[in-house]
Amino acid sequence: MAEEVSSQMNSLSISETNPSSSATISLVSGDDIVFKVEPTIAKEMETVQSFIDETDGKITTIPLPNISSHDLPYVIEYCEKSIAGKITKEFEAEFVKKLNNEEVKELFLAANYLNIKKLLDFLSQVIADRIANKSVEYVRRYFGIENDFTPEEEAKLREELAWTFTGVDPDDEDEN
Amino acid sequence: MKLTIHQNHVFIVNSKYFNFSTNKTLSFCFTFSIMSSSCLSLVMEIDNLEITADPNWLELPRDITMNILQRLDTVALVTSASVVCPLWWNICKDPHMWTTIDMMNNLSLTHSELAYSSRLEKICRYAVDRSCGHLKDIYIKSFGTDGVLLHIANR
Repeated sequence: MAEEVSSQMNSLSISETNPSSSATISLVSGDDIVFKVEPTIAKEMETVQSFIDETDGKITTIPLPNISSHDLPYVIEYCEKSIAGKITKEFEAEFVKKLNNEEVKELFLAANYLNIKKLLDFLSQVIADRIANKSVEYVRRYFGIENDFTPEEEAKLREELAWTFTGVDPDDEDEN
Repeated sequence: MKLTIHQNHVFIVNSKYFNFSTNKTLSFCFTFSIMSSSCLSLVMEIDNLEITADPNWLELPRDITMNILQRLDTVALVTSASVVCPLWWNICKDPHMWTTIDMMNNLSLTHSELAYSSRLEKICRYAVDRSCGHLKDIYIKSFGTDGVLLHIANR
């Protein structure tokens, strides 16, 4: 299945511009699935590229223990579109429609780990959109953040912002 | 075993730790403890890792969290994000969070017009105060009373 996906990915990628580094790069997901990608894709992933640079391009198999084989194809797909200059509003809307909240968060962390600025910015916007106009409790649940204000702090805060605690959208059921 | 992390650091990690990180959740903590620590303390920290059920968003670098929160409109920032937890409260105290005040998108709320507009006005004043003079762009509609405009101009 993974091989299938990666061969699909390869067929989508644009041709390598730098002939001296034309070997494909193998990205190994946390659950040990190998994804073969063009070096141009790796360039989009700063973390991967710096690994390649540090080893003078000798090592082309890169373990990405933080990223699952479920999430990695999404990242690769985005990078491919990015290289091809095909990141459009339509593509982004379609892309994000496929993702539930949990996947958005996982991809965000993956983008952060791989240091892909464009994907990170895009997902930051997606997350912001998904928590906009939600209750404080919803936002806490979304991020798994404990309310660790002390009761005194909380009381003070509520007093300072008493006039704001109205008018949020009802929480929706899709918490994942 | 080598692992690359942000900012071009390459760490050599004993393979025993590497096996550890095939657990996805665990490996999240792993990344961020690496990013926030020096090479030496890194190994010690990994030894002491605890398995947590969820990735800890509060351990994300501050600028990453700011990147998300800055995309919220002003009303959401004031009424929701800033009171989520002490860290976010602290982030929202940063004047740079308030360089743009966007209050164009608040018509979905179902308050009586008068109460609604006076609430927006309060939020706007609050946001302007928070910006401490760093305000660059402001987008408001339907509550641009003389009082608010004067308040903005004075900052």
